[in-house]
Amino acid sequence: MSSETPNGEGKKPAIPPPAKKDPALNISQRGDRLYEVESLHKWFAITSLLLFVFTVWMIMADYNREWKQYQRAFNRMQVQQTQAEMDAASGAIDVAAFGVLQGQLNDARGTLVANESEVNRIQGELDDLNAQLYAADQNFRFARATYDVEQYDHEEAFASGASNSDALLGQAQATLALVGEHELRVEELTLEIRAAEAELGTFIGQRDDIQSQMAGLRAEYDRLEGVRNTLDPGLVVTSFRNAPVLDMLNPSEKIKQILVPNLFNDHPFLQVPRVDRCTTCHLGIDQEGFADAPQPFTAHPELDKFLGSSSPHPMDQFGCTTCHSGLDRAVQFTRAGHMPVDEAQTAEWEENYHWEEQHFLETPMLPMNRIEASCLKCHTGAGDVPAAPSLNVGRDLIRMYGCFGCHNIPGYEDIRRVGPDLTTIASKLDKEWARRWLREPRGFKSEARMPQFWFNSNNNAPVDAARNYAEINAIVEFLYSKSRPNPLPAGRTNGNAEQGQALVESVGCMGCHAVGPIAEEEGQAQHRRRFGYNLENQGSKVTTEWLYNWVRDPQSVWHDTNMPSLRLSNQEAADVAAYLSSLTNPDFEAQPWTETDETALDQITLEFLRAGSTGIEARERLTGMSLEDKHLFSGERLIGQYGCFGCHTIEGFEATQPIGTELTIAGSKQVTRLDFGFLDLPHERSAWYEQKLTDPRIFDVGRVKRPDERLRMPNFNFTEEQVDSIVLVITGLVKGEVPPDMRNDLSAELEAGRAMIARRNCRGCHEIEGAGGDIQATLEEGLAPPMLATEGAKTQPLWLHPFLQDPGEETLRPWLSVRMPTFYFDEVEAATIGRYFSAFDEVEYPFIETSIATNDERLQQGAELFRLLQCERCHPTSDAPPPPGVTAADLAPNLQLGHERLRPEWVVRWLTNPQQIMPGTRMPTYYPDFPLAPPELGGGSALTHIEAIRDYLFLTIGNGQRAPDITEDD
Amino acid sequence: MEFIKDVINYLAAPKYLIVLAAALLFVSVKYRSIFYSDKAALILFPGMFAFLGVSMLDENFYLIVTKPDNVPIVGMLFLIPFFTWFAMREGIRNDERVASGKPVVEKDESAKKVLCWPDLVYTELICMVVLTFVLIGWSIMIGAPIEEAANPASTPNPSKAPWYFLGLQEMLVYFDPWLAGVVFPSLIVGGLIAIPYIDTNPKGNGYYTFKERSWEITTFLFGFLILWVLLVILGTFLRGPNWNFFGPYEYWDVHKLEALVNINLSEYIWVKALGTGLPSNILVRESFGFILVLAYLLVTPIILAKTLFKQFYENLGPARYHVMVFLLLSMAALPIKMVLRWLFNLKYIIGIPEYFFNI
Repeated sequence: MSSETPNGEGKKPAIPPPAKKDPALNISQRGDRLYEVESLHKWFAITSLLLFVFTVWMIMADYNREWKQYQRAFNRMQVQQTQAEMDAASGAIDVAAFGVLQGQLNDARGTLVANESEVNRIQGELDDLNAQLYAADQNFRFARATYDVEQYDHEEAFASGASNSDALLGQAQATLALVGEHELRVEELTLEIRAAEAELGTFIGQRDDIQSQMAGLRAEYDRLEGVRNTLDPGLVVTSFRNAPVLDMLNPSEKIKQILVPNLFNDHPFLQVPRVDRCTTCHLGIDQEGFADAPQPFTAHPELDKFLGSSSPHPMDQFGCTTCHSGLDRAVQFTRAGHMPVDEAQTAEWEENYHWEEQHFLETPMLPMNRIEASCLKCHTGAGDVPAAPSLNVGRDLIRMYGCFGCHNIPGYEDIRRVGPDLTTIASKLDKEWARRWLREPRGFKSEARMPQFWFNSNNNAPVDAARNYAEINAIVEFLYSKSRPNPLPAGRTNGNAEQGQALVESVGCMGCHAVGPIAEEEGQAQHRRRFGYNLENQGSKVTTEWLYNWVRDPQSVWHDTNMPSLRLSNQEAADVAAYLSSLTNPDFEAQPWTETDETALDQITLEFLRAGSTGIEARERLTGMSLEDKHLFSGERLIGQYGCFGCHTIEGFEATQPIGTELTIAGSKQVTRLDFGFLDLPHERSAWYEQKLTDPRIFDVGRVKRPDERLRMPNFNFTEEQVDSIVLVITGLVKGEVPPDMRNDLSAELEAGRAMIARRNCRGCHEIEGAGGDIQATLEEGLAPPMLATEGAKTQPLWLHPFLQDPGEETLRPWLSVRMPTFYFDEVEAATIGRYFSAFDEVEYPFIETSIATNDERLQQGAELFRLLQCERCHPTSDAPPPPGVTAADLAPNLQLGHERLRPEWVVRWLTNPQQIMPGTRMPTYYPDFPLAPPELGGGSALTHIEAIRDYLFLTIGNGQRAPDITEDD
Repeated sequence: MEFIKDVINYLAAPKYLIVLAAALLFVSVKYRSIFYSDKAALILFPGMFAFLGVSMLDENFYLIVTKPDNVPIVGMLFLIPFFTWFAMREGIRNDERVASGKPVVEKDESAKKVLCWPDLVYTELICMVVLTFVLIGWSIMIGAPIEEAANPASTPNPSKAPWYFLGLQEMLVYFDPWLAGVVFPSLIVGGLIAIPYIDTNPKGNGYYTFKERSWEITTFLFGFLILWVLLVILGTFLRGPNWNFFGPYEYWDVHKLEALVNINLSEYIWVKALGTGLPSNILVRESFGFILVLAYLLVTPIILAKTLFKQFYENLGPARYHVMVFLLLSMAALPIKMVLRWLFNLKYIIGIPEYFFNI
C-alpha cells in the first residue's frame, strides 16, 4: 500500500521539475511528495475498527470461558433453590404466634409513646455520656501509650548508665499517675452509662424482648435470606464484580481449587503439588441437595463414602484426581482428561464438548466403569476393598489363576505356585492324557484353569500343527523322564458312586469346587468355587485308587496342597472316589494323537542348539542326537521358554526367574510401549489389557515372526466379566507415592489374617467381612456353614485356636453333613486367624475374662426365661441327631458348648438384636422394644432378662466359671 | 487422484525435492522475465492456494498442515515466494529501464519527497494495528491451554526443533552435530556479518536490480531458499517419526523403517577398492578423507583464483577473496555432501567416531 502512486496503474509519473522551496504549511497541499496519504486514512479507519472488534472478541472470549458459564448457571440454580427453601421457611412460620407477638409489640410501642418525653431525656443523657466516654477513653489510651515510651526510655537510660535516668523515671511516674486519673474517669462514666441504660430498659425492655422473640420465629427464614443475598447480591454488585474487564479486580466467579496436602505430581526431577481445580465446574459435588442436578453440578453419588467431611475420604484431604486422575490444573472439559465410558458417550461428548483424546496426557481420568482401579493406590493390603466388588473379584482371580507365576505383581509375593507339583507326574497321570490336556485343556473340561499354549491365535495355522505336536510331545517326554515315584497306599475301588455324589454335594467340597460349568447366581459371583479344580471328568484323568488316597488324605499325596481334609471315613472316601471316577469324557479319551514329526522336532532342537553356538556346530550336534535326546533337550528348553514353572514345580526350574513382563506399574505404562499389532483398537491402556487377556497372542496376527519371537502368554479363556475385573487390578497398579496419611495401612494382624483367608479360600464357605459364602448356592437353606460376622467378638480365642487346628474334635452341629475341614494349621497359622478375628472386631486377644458374676435369683429367672422362650426347641443340648419331625436345617448350635466357646458380652449383644449381627438369621428377636422387656415375659429391663439367660446358659447348662455373686446394689 | 498423490509423495523425497527446487530456481533466474512477471504471479499464487485447498481434502495432509505449531510455516510458504517474486520483478523492471537508457525507478522517485510523518510513521502505525489484531485473533483461535507436564522420559516422536531451527536439524541428517549444530550456524552468522566487508560493490544500493548483481543474488537465493527455507519446510511437513521422510499425503507411521546402509569413504577405499581391511591406525585409515577435505578447503581456492574466480581475485584482493571463497565452499559443502549421500550412500568423508570427529 505504501508504494501506491498518485496516478495508480503502477506507472511512475513523469519527473516534475524540482519544486520551489515554498513553505507549504499544509503538507497535503505540497506538490513535491512521492506518496499520497489519503488512502492511509481509509486503511487506518478500517484497521482501527478491526482492532476494536478483535479486542471486544478477546474480552468476550475470556468472559465466556467454559467454567465461568458453569459458575453462572450454578449460581442461578442455587438462587432458585434457596428461594424455594425461603418460601418453604416462610410457610413454616407459626402465623398465630407471630400475630400475638405483633399485637404485644404494638401495645409496647403504645406505652412507649406515652412516656416519650422521659425516654427522650434518658436517651439524651446516654448520648452525652457516651460522647464523654469516647473522649475519656482516648485520653486514657494515649496516656498509657506515652507511659510505655517513657518507661522504655528510662530503662534504656538506666541500663546504659546515662545521667538522666532518674529524671526520666520521674517523668514516667508522673505520666503513670495521669494514666490512673484517666482510667478512673473511664470507669466512672462506664458506671453512669450502665445506670442510664438500666433506666432506659424499664421503658423499652419489653419491646426489645418481643422483637427478639419474633426474630426467633423467623430465624430460618432470615438465615436463608442472608444466603440468598450473598448468592445474589443484586444486579449492580454482580454486574460490576463480574463484568468483562472489571472482573480482574475481585470477581465472585473465580477458579476454585483444592490443594491436596502432601500429594504431588511426580515429574522428572520435580515434584509439583497437586492442585485440583475440578470444583471450579463441579460446584455441587459435595452438596447433598444436588444429587439430581444436571452435570457438571451433580453431587457425588456416595457422599457418605467420599467427599463428605465425615466420610473416610474428605474432599479437602483427598481432592479429586487422587482417585479419578486427569490433569489436575485444567479447567476445560477436554483438557482435564475426561474419558468416556463407551462409544455412545464418546459420540455425545464429541458433539457437546468437542471432546478428543489427550494423547500426551499420561494420566487421563479413569472412565467411570473403571474407577475402582484407583482404590488400589491406597488400599494395597490383602483383603477386600470396600465398595469395589469388581476389583476384589479381579484380585481373587489373579490369585487363583496364578498370574504372579509369570508376572511380578505387588501384593502377590511369596504365594505357592498355583498348579500341581509335576515332579511326580508319572504316578498320577498317563502320557496320553497329559498330551491331550496340553493341546486343549478346555477340551477336557469346560472350566479348566490351565491356559492353552498351543493352537492359539499365533500358532494355529496348518503349517504350525506339526511343530505344536512336536513341542507338546517334547515337554511331556521331558516331564516323565524327570518324574520321581510317589508311593501311595493301595486304594479302594469298592465305593458307591451314588453315595459318593451325595457326599460331594453335601460335605463341603462345593465351597472350592464345582462339577462342570458353574451356574452363576444372582448377586453372587461364585468365583471362589473356581479355587479348587473343577471336578468334571476326573474319571478320564486319574485312577480310582489315586482319587481314594487323595480325598481321604490330600496331604499324604502332596504335602504342599491347599486341599484340606474333610475327615472322610475309608468307606466315604471310596464312595467319593467311585463317584468322581464315574465322571468321564469319552470324547476326550477318543481323541487321536499325532506323534512327533521328526523334521519339526529337528527344527525346534536346532533353534535351541543355535543359542550360543554357530549354525554349523548346531547341525553337527543334531546329527548325533536320538529322537529321545531331541525330545528331552527341546522339552527342557521349551519349559523354560513357555515358563511352565511359573505355575508348576518342575525339577531343575525351582529358582528360575519368571518369564512375564513386570506388572508393578502396569497402570502407568506408556501406551506407546504397548504393541497394538494390526488391530483396530483404541490406543489406550485398558483397551490393550482387555484384548491381551481376551486373546493374548492376537497381536502377532499379521506379523512375520520366527517361532521363538512369538508372543508366549497362553489363553486363559476368561469371560468378559473376568477380563474386566483383572484389567481393573492391572490398571490400578500405578506409580506415584501416595502420602502415608491417605494410605489405608492396616495392622499386621488384619493383613496377615486376610492373606490367610484368601490363601485358604475360607470365603468359599463362610461369609467374612460381608463377602463370600459361595457354597450357600449349592446347599439347602439352614444347612450352610455359618457367617463369620463378629466372629472375633463372639468366640473365645482359647476355644477358636484348637478348633481351627482340629475342627473334628468337637463339632457344633454334628447333625449337619457339611463340616469344617481340617487344614492342618500349625500354631502360627491358627493364631494368625484367631488374631485377625479379634483385631477386626477390636476385642481382647487371647486371654479374656469368662467367669460370670451372678446370683441365684438371676439364674432362676434365666431358667424360667429359657423355658418360656423355648430355646431348646432349636438349640439342642446334646449331640443326639434331631428327633423325628425336626430337620437338621431347623437346628441351631449345641448350647452345651456355649460357655467355653462364646464371649459372655457377645451373647448379650446377640440376644439383643440377632438380625443386626447376622441379617437373615433364624434366631428370633425376643426383645424388639429394647431396653424394655415385653410384658408377656414379665416386663422390666430387657438387659436383666438377657443377662439372666446368658448366666443360665453359661453356668447351669454349661459348666462355666462363676465369679463372686453380685448383689442387687450392683 | 491416488496416482497423482503417489507421484507427489515420490517427488517430495529430499533428493528429488532439493534437486528439483534448485533446478527450478536456476531456470527461473535464467528465464526471469517469464517467471517473475505479473502474469506468472497470477498463475503461481492462486495455483498455490488451489494446491493447498485441494490437498487439504487428504486426511494426512490436513493433519500436518493444520497443526497449530505449523501455522507459521504455512504462512511462510506464501510470504517468501511473494517477496522473492516482488524483489525480482522490481529488479527486472529496473534492468529493462537501464537497458533502454532510462534511469532506475528509484532515481526518478528520489526527486520527490518522502516525509517521516505521515509517509513513514503513519504506515508503521497501521502495520502495528494490523499486527496486533492478527495476533489477538490468532491467539483466540489457537489457544495455549495448560497442557500436561513435559516428560523427558517420554518425548514426542518426531521430536522437532522450533520451526526456525528445522533447517539446522535437517542438516544433522548429513553432518555430525558439531558441524551442523556448531560450526555451520557460526559460519552462517559470521558470514552474514562479513558480507558488507567483502562485498564493497556499491551497485544495487538503494534500488532494485538483478542484472548488475546477478551472481550475488543467485548465490544468496540458492543459499537462503534452497539451503535454509526449503530445509525448514522439509523438516516441518515431510519429516515424521524417527525423522523419517514421509510424503505430504503419507500417513506418519512410527514403525516405518529405513535401511541404514551408509558407509564411510575409508571403507570405500580400503575395503571396496583395495580389498584390504581397515588399517588400525586412525590417521592412516582416514588419510584419504583428510587429503580430500584439506584439498577442498586449501587447494580449491587457489585453483579457482586462477580460473573461474580470476575476476573476483583481482577485484577483492587476496584477503577478502580467501574469506569469501572459504564461506562459499562451506556453503557448498552441504549440497555436495547431500549429493554424495544420495548417489553413493556416503556416510562420512572423515570418520573418526572414536573421537567424535566426523566430517
